[in-house]
Amino acid sequence: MPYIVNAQILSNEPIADKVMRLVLKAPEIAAECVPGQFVNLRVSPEGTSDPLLQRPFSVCNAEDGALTLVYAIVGKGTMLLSRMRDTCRITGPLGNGFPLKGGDCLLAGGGLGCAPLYYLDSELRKQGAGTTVITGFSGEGQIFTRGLFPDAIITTDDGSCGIKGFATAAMEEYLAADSRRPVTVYVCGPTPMMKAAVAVAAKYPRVKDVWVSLENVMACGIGVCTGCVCRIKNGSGGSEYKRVCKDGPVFDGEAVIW
Amino acid sequence: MVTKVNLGGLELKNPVTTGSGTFGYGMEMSEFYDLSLLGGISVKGTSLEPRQGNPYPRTCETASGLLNAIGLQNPGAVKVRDEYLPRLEAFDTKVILNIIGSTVDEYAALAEMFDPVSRVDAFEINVSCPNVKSGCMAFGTSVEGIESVVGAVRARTRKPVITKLSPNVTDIAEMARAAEAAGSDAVSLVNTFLGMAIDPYKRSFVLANRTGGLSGPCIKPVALRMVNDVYRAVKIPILGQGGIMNGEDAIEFMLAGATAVSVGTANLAGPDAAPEIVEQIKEYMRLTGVEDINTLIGAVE
Repeated sequence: MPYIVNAQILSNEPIADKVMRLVLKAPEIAAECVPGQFVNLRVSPEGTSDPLLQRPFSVCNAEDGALTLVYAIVGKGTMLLSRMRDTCRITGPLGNGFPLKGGDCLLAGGGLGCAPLYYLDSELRKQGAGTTVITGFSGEGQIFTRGLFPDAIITTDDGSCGIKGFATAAMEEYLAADSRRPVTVYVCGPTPMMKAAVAVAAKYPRVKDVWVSLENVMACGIGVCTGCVCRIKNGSGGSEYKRVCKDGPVFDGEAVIW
Repeated sequence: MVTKVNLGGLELKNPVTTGSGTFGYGMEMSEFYDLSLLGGISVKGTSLEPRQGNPYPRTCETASGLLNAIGLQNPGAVKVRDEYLPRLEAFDTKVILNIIGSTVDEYAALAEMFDPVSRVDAFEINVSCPNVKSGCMAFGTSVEGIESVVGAVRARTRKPVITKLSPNVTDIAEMARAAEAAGSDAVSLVNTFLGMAIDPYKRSFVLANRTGGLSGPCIKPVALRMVNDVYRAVKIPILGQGGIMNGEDAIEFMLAGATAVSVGTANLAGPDAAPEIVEQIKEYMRLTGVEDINTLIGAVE
């Protein structure tokens, strides 16, 4: 069950160009939160209404009573958040989580999408899974994952660090290397990247499942307004609208109608 | 301290209800608090057949407000009757069924279908959603439209009938009079105002539906004025809504003439809004020495 708490801000620091890491003391939420879930943050002062809505952020880590979020400053709400220092009202954990599988797991993150893969990676490894992580960025200045994933395969669009190219190219290389070992693929990043990643994974029969974490503009974040819907194939050959905030954000990549 | 009010035959333990479309059928919100804290809830607009709703994007935040073009996505009457309403049996709160249709016959069929359903304490006739191509607001923007829909529902149920009015009209008092004459036990106002948003860099409409309904604090002054206009025009009680974010806002609507209030967009801004407002109303009563909340209805001078 989700909580609403006034969480103490332990730190709120820049870790890359316009990218911040926020650490909040929120023991109840941290204890219940699983990889893939997110939290809603109030970014306007109490009693004010601009911005009106909370802002959703995926959880990068939940450990020892603390939540770590990584966010980019992209607009009014995140600008306000970057200046917050004392407490923050947060609602969570929200959404479904990544299904945790055993065996070999390939985690591919694009940009900010790499953040929630950290919590996923640590829980998968705790359960004995073997993980390989690919982190793709547009350029070196955006990389914030060196500490989170010391052994990750890094790709940059402009070649300023690691392999020049998209994360999907590194995925192909990994998947093509061994046709027999089954692997579960997890992807989180910009929509075009996830769509491309699902298409890549579909070419390799060794891929058991591809799980994606969708991001749509949300209003309530808890499933009451149906504003954040995405189109998902249903069993009977048709499709329906599902709520990214409540039925997701994690979906079977093969079922998503991009 | 008396907080009980009577909304046209619907007895509410306190004047706080939640707005249709901001609360689903109660299940998600019940994870945050006991729904029994509320006077009542108005569930999502329910149509005979399931509706998918409009394409995404469906929402756009505005200055102190929200545009929505959800398009009445709902699972349809059968599922609501057989699966969703029974889950509300656990809660001691009134359930108002918001009904939608493209034709008068559809509203009539819904009234007939749900009249015997014990969990439905009242009907809210939605003739005001601005986000669908037919029905709803198309009925609510004319006296004839309101008369035909309300009359058809009235003939098929003895339960309290509340007509939810659209503010996208020249004279909402005229619409309220039509609803009253056709047999409504109460009117609820306001539904959302037609609005629009544009992305100046993509040079596109933000909402897939082009237009949406505006709600939230930015509409409160207009909604409040409309409540007072209607209070002066009809005798039936009013369920007031439009940007209520706290107890003081709720009190303002009651002073303007509302017997009860509906908290809508505030639920989206924070899930605990509605029970907080119940407490804030009680705090206001304590602070100002009000023993019975009914003495506030229409008491503005």
